[in-house]
Amino acid sequence: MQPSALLRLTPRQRRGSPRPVTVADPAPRAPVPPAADPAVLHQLVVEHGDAVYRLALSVVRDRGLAEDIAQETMMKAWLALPSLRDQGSLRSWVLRIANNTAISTLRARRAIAVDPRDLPEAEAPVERSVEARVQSDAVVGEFVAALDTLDELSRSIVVLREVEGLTYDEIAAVLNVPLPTVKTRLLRARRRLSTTLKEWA
Amino acid sequence: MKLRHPSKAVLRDWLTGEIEPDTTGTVERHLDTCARCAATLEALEPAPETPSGPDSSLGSALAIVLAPPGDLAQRLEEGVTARLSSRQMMEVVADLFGAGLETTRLLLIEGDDDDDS
Repeated sequence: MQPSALLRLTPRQRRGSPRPVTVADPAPRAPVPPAADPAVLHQLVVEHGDAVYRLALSVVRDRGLAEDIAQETMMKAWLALPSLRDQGSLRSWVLRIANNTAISTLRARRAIAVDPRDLPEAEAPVERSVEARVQSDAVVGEFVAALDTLDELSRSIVVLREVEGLTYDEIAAVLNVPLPTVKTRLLRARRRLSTTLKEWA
Repeated sequence: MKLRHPSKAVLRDWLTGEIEPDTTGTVERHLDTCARCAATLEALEPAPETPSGPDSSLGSALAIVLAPPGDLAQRLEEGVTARLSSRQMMEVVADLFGAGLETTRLLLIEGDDDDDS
């Protein structure tokens, strides 16, 4: 089995490396509010940072890029938060920004990359400390390989449902797709991924 | 021409991945809007063997392979702050020269390149 892309990903620590190509920016073009409260940013990051990162990683499959997208998402959310009328939908709103940013980034990359092999890929083995604690490389590798066979929309759907615990309706709203899409892609993703999970027991 | 509903055999192949790549797009476009075929698909597929949700084995496995760095929160805060500082500085320069923000950004980036060369 080919080593999977996700398994070979590590956090990018290339300070100063180029930022992803410009992405769609739902944040207002108005000047940065001088009174933006750092405590609000802290709360946003602590409460939603991990979920945003996981969603971004499920789309772009590159840890460095996922972190860039998470950062961009947090900045947009922080600046635009005062305009959010329904604070109850904060999580869905932040995840929607993250998904839009990730999709825009991926499209921009694809527009530049003529060769599909130039698309975001892994650079080095995944953090062994995390992986080794749980299962052997082969078992985890099989699971990640199955995850890689899914398209990015299906990966987003299964992550939002199985990790973040969103309802079908919430997922449809976050990803801006019809409900049947959520149901059918989830069905297929569960089927493919669950077959590799038997070895995890 | 109205799109016909895929047969159960085709839906089953789509589920298992044993379907021609050319057909995949057609089936998925149909499934995106056809609640009837979505229901057919659910009837084809027995209840998942593993529970669903964050506490399920599937949720746990996904959380492991997508695990964020331990210091992600701190890195995000620092990154956002740095980005905004840079943006605010550009706004001051843009205001001084009466140029747009994007124009200023491009000029500053171009200036950096000239320095490097």
